Amino acid sequence: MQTEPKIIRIGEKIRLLEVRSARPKTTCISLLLLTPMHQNPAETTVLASYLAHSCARCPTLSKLNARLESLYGALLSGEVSRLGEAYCLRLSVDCLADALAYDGQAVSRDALELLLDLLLEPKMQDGRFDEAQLRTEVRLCAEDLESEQNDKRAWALMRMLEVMCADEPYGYPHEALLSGVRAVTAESMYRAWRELLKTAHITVQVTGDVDFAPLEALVRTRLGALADRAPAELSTVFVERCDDVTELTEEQDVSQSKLVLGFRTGSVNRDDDFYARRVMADLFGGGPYSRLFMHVREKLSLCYYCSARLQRQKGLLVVQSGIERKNRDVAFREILRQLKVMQAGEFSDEELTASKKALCDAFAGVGDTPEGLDVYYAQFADGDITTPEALAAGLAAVTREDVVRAANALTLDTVYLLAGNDEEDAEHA
Amino acid sequence: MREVKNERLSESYFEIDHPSGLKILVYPKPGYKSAYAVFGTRYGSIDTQFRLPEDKEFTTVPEGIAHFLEHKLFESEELDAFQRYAETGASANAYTSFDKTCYLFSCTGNFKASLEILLDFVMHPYFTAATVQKEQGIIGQEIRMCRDEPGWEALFQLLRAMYKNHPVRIDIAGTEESISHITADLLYKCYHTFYNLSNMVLCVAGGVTAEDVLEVADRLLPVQKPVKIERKFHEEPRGVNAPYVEETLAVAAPIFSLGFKESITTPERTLREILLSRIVLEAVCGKTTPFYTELLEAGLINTSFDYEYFCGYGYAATIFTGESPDAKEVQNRLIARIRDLQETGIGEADFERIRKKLYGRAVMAFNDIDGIANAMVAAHFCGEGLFDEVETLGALTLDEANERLRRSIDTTSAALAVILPKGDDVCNS
Repeated sequence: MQTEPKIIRIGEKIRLLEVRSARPKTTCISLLLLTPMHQNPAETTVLASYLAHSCARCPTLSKLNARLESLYGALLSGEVSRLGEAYCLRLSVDCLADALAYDGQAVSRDALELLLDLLLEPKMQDGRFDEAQLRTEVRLCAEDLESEQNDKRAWALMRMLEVMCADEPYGYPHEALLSGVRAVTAESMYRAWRELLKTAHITVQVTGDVDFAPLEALVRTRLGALADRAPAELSTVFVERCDDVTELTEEQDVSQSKLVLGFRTGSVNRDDDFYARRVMADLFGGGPYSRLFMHVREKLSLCYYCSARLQRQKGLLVVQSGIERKNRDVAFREILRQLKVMQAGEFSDEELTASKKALCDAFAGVGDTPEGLDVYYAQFADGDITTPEALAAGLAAVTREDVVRAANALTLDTVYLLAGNDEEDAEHA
Repeated sequence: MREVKNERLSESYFEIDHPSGLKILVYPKPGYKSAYAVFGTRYGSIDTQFRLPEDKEFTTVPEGIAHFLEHKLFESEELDAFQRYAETGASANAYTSFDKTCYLFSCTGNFKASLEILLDFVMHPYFTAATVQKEQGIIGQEIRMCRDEPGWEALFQLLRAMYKNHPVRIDIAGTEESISHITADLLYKCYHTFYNLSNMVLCVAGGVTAEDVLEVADRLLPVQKPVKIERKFHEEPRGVNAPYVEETLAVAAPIFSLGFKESITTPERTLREILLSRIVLEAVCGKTTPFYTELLEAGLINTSFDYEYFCGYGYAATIFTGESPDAKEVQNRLIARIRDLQETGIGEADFERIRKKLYGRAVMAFNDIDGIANAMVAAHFCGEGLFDEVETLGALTLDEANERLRRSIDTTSAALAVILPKGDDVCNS
């Protein structure tokens, strides 16, 4: 299947990605807008929610949802995520493939039009964002941020990253974002929206089996007309190594403790020795064949999960595990011991082959569905794209020496423990 | 071998009654590189009491044993299943729910080799005292992890509040105490009862053919004599066990789970009843309803609000979940809303709009081979075909929906479970 997308330049840092997928049931359309993290973080967060819940043409949630239902239950989402030290505001729709509409409706065109309406013609009153809706969105975003502490695994990871990257935009504190969100006003949000349209790097992704021509025309008309474009520069701080380890323990009344280790990978940009680092991270703590799974979980029975993940866009590798508090030291020592094994190249050829096979196998299937391709290409919204086929080929070419080099480039930066209340039943092992 | 076709979707799959006694369903997706296989048994956490024709008494087994067995089946005397999959590059996993246990893998290459591993390890149990003991530590951590997940806790608090006798009230993984009673002998007893091919199904979807699957199945599956399993039917009183329960956890805001227990006279719900219940739920509080907007604007719910029709062998309920500062008020308003709608009935236009949405969502699901294979398992265990949902949706009437609304939701059989935040328990050390 052909997954090489067609890239069409629409304007200054505005591009359209047309990705063809054979005989799908859906079309996926995403608007991706990247801005520097330090530029209106709170407003950008609220904006994603506001824009995804109304527009001038569908001014209430009921009207917007009725519109989506008439598009065969199209799924709309609006969210903000991080891509390195950029915020990515994403508005996307998954909708029924045009060929399957029982009333001949051009679902994809209607869905794209709706997305562009949401972004470009928000619900306004007298040139301002609607105050009542804004208050609701602020509440929803604040509650959403507060409820992040309900997921202890994600919370521990976030706290570790805040500590590790305290001097970098990446470590922007959750608390600061939360208070910023509460302080968002109709004026500050309007300014942030204007700035977003002026400065963002914009990618429109359309994936499916559709007639692209009318969609391209629509994107040209609506986004090509954006005035005063002045795209911001996107950059991310890469700290190559760390020489002194920070340790922090925080207590919470939870049943299971979470141990999180943050490493610097040694990379200086998102593409630097990427393939070697990706395979290394997988062999270290990816699938069930990895060192961490085999030893920390299976041999020592210390945990249900112990994984290593590469954060390519920031040059980090993070190890996470859920353990009993009294096992903190033994788990920590075992994780570092397995890293030494990696660095000394004392892993077997079978392990290396297993890791490469699993990774290549996973990427080879990305092109099967529009959903898979949409998520895959979104990670390249900050620059040049690589097709899943090319990525798989790059991973397949990684050698033992590459993995050892990548493992030796790792330096431990921060060790974080979210310590639970499991002391009282410490006799259970 | 029988081909099951759907003209509307222009899709089809093959149904095979294999000589071994196993039902095999294969859904080829030409053009797909990946394939997904799932081997499932109709055996879940609710099957704690059962009897074979030769048994005098019902056998009662410890809570959580189906899930424990799922973990242990991956092991063998030589290489465990994960190590074997490492050679093929497939990504493997398993899950246990209330009423089934499924083993699965996805891959892009080496399909037959991976299928061989799947069929082989599921057909060859290997349990010893030592391996059982090792797993108690790992699953103990899994249980603790779930105890810290407020949504999960709220659901099980609710199930215990609604059900007095039915084992749907017990946690799928059991407790650290209950799993300590699991022995190798008990695992074999459960295995030989429920892992009989006549109680199982193999479903495959993706870039494969029925011949590929049969070539491996013919070679690996022995002919088995079917078993007749008698599941204990648990007498359940009409009303709820407790109308209100609460618990405190380290969460940001109160989380609730509200259920209306349905009074049922037969153990299972038909597909038609399930689809009608989904339409009813959308009509009661879907995002298009003014009622949903009212709750949102009153600050009573946020974007985490959700609802589902929840049913299985011997249990059925309508469940609402979310985060709210005043869950009791949400309950009061929902009861008033339901009574009101039971009185006035769902309107024709709303019914058609909801039906169109559910149709679109059902069709869109046919992209996803994971979803297709798992849906085939679920449909088979319910005695339905995969395309029945799309076809039945088209045949539902407004009168049936209103009838279902009036009969299935008993507003006097409500239970509310709330997870309240603990005091200020986050501190640094």
